[in-house]
Amino acid sequence: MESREGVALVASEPRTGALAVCGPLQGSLWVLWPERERSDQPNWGCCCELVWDARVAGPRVAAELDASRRADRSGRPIKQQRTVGHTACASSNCVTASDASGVRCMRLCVVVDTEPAAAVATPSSMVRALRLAAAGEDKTVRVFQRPYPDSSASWHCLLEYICPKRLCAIDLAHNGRYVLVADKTGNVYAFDLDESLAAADTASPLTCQPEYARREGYREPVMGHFSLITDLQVSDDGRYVATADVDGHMRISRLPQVYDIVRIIPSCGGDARTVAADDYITRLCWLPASSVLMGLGTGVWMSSECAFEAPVHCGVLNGVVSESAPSSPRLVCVAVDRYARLMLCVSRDGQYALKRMPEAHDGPNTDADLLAVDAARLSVAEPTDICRWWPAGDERAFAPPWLVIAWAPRGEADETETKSLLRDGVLSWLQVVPWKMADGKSTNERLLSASPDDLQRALNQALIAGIRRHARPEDTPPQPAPRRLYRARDHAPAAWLAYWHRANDHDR
Amino acid sequence: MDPSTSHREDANETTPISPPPSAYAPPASTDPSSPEWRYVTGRRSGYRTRAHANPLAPGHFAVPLSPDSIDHAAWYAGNADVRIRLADIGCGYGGLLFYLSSHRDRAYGMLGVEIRAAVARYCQLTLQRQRAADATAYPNIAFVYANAQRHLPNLLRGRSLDAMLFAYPDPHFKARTHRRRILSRALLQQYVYFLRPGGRLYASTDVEALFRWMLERLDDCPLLRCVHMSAVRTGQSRFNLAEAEELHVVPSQPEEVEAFLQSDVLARAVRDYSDEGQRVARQHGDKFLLVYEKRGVEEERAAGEGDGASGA
Repeated sequence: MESREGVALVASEPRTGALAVCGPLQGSLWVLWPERERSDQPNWGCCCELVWDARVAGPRVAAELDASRRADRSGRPIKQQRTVGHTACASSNCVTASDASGVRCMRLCVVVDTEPAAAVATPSSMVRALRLAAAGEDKTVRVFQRPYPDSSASWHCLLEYICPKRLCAIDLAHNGRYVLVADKTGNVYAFDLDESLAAADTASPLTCQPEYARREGYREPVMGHFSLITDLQVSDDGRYVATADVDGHMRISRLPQVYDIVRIIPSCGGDARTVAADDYITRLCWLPASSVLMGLGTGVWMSSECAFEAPVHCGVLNGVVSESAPSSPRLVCVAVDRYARLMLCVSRDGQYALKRMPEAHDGPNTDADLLAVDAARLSVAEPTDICRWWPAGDERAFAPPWLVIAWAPRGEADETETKSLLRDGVLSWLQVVPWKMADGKSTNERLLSASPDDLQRALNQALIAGIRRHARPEDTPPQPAPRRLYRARDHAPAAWLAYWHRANDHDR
Repeated sequence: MDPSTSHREDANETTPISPPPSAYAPPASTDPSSPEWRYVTGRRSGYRTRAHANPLAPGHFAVPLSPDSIDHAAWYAGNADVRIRLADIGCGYGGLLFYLSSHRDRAYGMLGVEIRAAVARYCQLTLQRQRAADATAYPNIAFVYANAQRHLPNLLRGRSLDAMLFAYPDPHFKARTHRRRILSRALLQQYVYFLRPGGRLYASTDVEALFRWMLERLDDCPLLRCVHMSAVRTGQSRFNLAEAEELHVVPSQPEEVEAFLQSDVLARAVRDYSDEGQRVARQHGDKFLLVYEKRGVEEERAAGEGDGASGA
């Protein structure tokens, strides 16, 4: 796992306008805030907080993992497990520390004072705290919290738990009360963050351990697939959770009654005209304030419209990713597939538009009319993540947001270049792009009056200032090179591999 | 695969199709039209395979993209109006479905899922031979080579099954391999999804530890209701120790068990008429049976709201 600079993941929260970022300083977590008193002026200001420093917490956990996982009880080393190539797809093009303690997935949410059911529409004045859940390369779930309106408050860790397998997806549900994490064997674990509520509530299927699994230090998964889970998304109203795996199955379950499966969609919808046997979904998203679930995967996309009152009448709509998809300007959600670098934009009236992220060799880009991507940077960097961002906060939760694209440099060779650019303060790892509206009008004139360049500059300057504040070049010793773990695939002679395949091919 | 095995297998395939010699031929005094005696057996030595296949491995399976793309006419010998309403998970050599075929009408489709390739092929070839001899034989059963843990959504529609059968599944004794067992918390949620409200799940085993494992997980699932639970002990089982008797679950009186088995053909078949069930009987092993029913829609909703109310 190479140490790289750049931003690997971004996540946002509409009511507070906060933007969480993972990447700089070996996979540390940051939160960026637009400064409210200056937000009506043409010059935007942002402040930057360090949530979690991967350089401090990383090596300790890695050492523990090393001790606990790499040897069995008799002290013999355990053989490294074979993993399928899908792992690369579930992980981000990640900015990780050299001891592989980076973050692979994260989610940001607010804790509101009201009932969870009414939490969707509550204004930002009722926000009590902000929560950030992150899981990643070191198999550890971490949840951080910060009281919201208090400007002097700092982030503290609510939960730290080492799971047995590598984690691939995470989400927060029920007003930030539950954390759901999925691992590479398909198990989904749930954690209750509100201890006071959990003590009174023994009947919730998410918190209650079954009788047979009540033993020290053990946690039974609450639900599961049977292969690597690529994404896990809780719907906006918190009533349903959607998961997707590399077998191509998508599943919608009830929350918190996760034992009740509403629907399983096999093979990305199973339409033979659009789907091949080995296709699968890599990104899921629920459309805001609706029951439409979108998925985008290895060259296919699908949407499932579920009338939840009558779950039998779920319709599945499939499509091949193509340039001829109808372009629709009123966009409400977006997903990016990191594998095929495709972007899916969905309009609220049920139309879809698909765009390919431009490649460096494409030359002048003709089809990226949704995003004005800075083509000059494409030779150096690649997009790693994308999210919707509402920088102005509360009253426009469903107004068209901005898009924030995260970038990371492409290879090791560019690292010195990146560092020099960072020193000069000109590199923009976060790019801000406006939505295009159908009628060109907006309910939010003040927001649109701000230029995306101003927002982008403010974000990046705040991030760079934060890095400079926390970077300790003299303190940090050079990290040792990661230990190369043995993989049979890499070293076995071809004759042995041929024998292995023959021996395992039961069909012959 | 062992070369001698594959050689014998080839020889077996080239033999002319004829009704196989039956080891379980009905005695002359029994009425041959009685469905109880329609066993199909064949020479199985050519199809011997490793007893275990790893269900966690991706493997090489050719499964349909979705249940909509299943060609029912091809699977069920031209019987296109069939609907799959019963699934035998881990059907082995298929004796259970061959037995059940005559107990259900033509449109009641049954599907056997088997993970061992040689065994699944044995089932398919046996079925093919029977149909070659008599085109109308067994119009409502089919066998598929698939991993039931992974591929059931490709084969079955949600809320469509009347019954799922788990006849003597692999016990996986070691704690390390417990997660390969066919009934786990996550898998059970999936099985319940395939059952229609009121549909039943039958599980039988001859290993007390596995029986307790299944019982715990089935009891833990809020969507299921216990219909029947019984244990028949011979005292000669090599798996179940006699000194652990104080831990035994003894749910029902023998008369009640017999009455239930009389009322439910599937329960009797899963316990006694599957291939493994007959083997267990020959070896004087114990027999455990669990029958659970999926709660109805109203009942299910009430249970869910009860959970939600206490969770809020």
